[in-house]
Amino acid sequence: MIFWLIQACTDSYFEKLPPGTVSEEHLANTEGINTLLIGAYSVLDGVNGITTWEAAGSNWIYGSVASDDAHVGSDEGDATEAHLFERYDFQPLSGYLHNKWRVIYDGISRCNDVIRITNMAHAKGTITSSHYDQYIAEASALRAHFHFEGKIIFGNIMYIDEKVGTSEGPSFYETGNVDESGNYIDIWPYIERDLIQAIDGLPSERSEKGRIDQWAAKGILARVYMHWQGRVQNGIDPSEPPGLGSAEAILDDIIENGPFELVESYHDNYRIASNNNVESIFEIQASVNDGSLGENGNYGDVLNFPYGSTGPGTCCGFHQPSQNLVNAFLTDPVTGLPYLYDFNTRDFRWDMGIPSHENWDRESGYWIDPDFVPYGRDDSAESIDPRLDWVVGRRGIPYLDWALHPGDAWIRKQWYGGPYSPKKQVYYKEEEGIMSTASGWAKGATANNIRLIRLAHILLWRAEIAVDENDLDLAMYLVNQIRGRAANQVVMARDTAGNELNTPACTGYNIMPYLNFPDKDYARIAVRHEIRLEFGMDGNRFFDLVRWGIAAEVLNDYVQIELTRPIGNNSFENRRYFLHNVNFEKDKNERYPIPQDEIDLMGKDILKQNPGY
Amino acid sequence: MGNQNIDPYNQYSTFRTHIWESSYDITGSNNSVRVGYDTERFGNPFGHWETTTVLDIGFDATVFNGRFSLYFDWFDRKTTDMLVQLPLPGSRGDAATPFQNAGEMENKGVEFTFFYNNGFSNSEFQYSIGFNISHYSNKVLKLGEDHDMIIQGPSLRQQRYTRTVSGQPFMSYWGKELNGFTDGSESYWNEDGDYISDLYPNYYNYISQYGSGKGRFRFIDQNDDGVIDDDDNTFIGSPHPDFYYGLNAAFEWKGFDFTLFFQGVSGMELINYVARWIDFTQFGGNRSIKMYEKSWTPSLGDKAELPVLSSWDNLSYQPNDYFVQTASYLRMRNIMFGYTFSNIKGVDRLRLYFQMLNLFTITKYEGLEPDLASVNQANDLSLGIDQGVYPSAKTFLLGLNFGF
Repeated sequence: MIFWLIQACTDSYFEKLPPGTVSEEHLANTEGINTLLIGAYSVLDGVNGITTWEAAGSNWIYGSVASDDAHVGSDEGDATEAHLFERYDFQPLSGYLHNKWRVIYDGISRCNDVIRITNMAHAKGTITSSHYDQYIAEASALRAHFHFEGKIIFGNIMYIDEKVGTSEGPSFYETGNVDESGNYIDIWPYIERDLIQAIDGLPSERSEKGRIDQWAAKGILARVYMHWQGRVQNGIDPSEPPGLGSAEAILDDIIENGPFELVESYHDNYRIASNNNVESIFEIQASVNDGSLGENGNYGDVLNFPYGSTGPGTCCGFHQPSQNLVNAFLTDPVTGLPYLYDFNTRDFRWDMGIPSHENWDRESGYWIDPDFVPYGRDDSAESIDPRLDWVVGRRGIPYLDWALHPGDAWIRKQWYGGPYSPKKQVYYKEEEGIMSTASGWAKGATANNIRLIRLAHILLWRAEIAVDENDLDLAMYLVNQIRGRAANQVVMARDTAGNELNTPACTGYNIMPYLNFPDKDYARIAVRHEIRLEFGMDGNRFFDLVRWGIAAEVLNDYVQIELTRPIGNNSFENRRYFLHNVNFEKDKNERYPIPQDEIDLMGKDILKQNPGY
Repeated sequence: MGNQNIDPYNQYSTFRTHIWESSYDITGSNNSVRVGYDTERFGNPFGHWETTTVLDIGFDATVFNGRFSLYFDWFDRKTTDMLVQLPLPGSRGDAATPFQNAGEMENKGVEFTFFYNNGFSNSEFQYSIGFNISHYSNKVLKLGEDHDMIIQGPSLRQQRYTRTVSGQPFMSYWGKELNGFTDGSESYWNEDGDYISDLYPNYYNYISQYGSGKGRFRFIDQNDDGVIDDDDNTFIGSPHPDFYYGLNAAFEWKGFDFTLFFQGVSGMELINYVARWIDFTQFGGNRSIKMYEKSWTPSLGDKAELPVLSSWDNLSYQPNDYFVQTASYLRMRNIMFGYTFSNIKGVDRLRLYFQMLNLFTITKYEGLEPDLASVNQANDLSLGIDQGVYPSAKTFLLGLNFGF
């Protein structure tokens, strides 16, 4: 009898959702979808619990260390995998790359959750249609951003939409990067489609500072077009290029109709006090002392602080600017313009091999250093772009309000990573414990946002297009706008008590506008050089070199010259042995390899490795 | 293995909230986040019971008036539709993976126990002795639905030491195989004045002029391609021992009692992960005496156990069979002396005893504790990996039992 009763009951009678947990049904309403969206925003910084600095939203490893901007720095025994990238030794088995891959697709999967559950809620009538449009648009824009990141890092990746893995679509195992005939699938049009849909559905003003609005989506689309166009043109991605003029139209729209203007000071793009400023178009939010142990606070860059107990962050001396980058900031004392063609043959004086002065006053940190005179400090003939001292920490120059950079004392292994420290994402001493984390192991978690796209990008991308169209006056006008702003605020000298003085830290600061772009080639080089200076250490350089089609040429030259620099007195260590036998392989190293673990899981007929690996 | 603790809600996808893994400072406040949700676990609505077929041939005998007992079992336990957490493609996103019926595994073995006592007669001296020994062999027969899958062991500081594939025991050890030390024949000066070896193109400072290319671990080039790299990894052991055994004995004489329990494992190997920290140069911190005494020097030669000391070495600490260390042991689990006073007024029974737990362990194992299972709630995925555990305590107990 009992047996019969059980037979008579339907299965769903016994269905009971897990108590104390949250399922899709619980979330299919305004409040629930909003929390899922927050979850998607949460991985913009690349830190999702499984991943940390190797997947940083700033891409400091894949975009900066792997370029001529920076050395991995620190010590070769620490974070050992990071060091391979400096040698263009990109390994399919790299756990770093695998984590980057995973966090990108984690972001995509969170966006797909939003879209799927929004559709579910819409069907059930638990959300209004204006909410529906907003959620779909926001999630689509984020999904496009994540795919874009995957695209410029890994090249041939697959596009995952909300139908994959459901009854309406193919399984995850079947959704790879090649079609039936084994050709890589071009996903650029899908990224574009997501963004166009997002722009349609998004408001033109953001309700909250961290949200993607129409302008942010347009900024991402402009970035997509610039990379898509360049990568197709240079044979990196097999694809049709985007429609002619599409980048120009969207850039002009942002410049003419957007609410953005250049902020007064270049440095305001890199300091906490001016997060979410009027120049910023798309920004990754960071927060500290919020109940976490700093993990919401620009955690991907947490290792990239001076090494040693007297400076900010104290850990771990990674991401050290290269001499090549520093040289790029040299300007001609007469014209105030960079040496576009031969900057790297003029060596900026550095403090390599000079120990920090033993009498350095560790209390105030502002001392007279008898052992080393910083380039440009006392000699106006030593002419430099003032942005240098906002980008690079170097000996004898105030390191924000911390101290004069003491040189070697803040460098973990000078002969390995060079004498320079990163500076852009560093917090002020007066902000310590307030805008940097007061808990957790790493003091370098800060509230410094990552300005992923700002008006300066838009202007300089537009200048690139102007060069292509031979409109050299417009290109020069745009570049000069950026240079004019850069002159507004320079690093100021400080007295021995650390108070800011009324005089610049260097008499050599000298930046002037271009007076003439004589021809297209000159203009192209000038625009590209300006992009390098303006965004130095931002994690874009590698990808810019790739889309310009000059990565192999530029990076192999860079390595050859770095190798010749004497870097110390020790006979064995007097050159960068780790750059020996290093070669950027053209038509291979422009894309990082697809993680081998993923290929093993899905099969190489479905997920095909990039050429050359 | 892995299938006794299936979450009762395995079929459901669930979401969770987390202060940093799913939250975001959407308002740009710099010091607060809004709570968000993300997937905690993917559900598998198609899961069902796994099937275990056991063939067990046993023999139990008790003879000589119950004085002598013997138990013998031979078993072959085969699990089909085994519930395993198969790895999902990264494109699925990151969340806990559900159990799926996608494996087959076989455990074969024998168990043998005998027990002898002197009959519990009324004689003043009573005793019993027991001994047991068991052996099993484990093999994964199938993993994955359509094609063979790999279940990776845990990633420990970017290295994995174990993996499960079909045809091998569950969580077998995986890494490079050593063959003594380099003798300098693999390396040379090139025209740039660098001291290099063609065998190690990915480990540019593995061979350096220090030590003249001698005294490094020499790895076996499994695939004979002239290069030592990750393609030379192979199976280098398994966490499954040859035998478990135990011996216990109890004696009683005129109010005195004495019990003994020895327990041991033979043919066991563990991954001594702690050695990566204390025998090699990768991380900061204290080092082992072994590193001081047994690192390669010209005079030690092949008697050395560790490579020549060098801060340039980023290969030796990667998974290889140095870390696979013999961890067989015999342990004095329990030894107890007691005396029972039988004629004290007002007290029915009073017993005084002295007990020692884990008095000694005989082992060659270099880690702190060869018996990981007893001190560590080792989950299946980290089977066989000694990540440094608090060892079993040696305990001395003095006690009184009263009965009123």
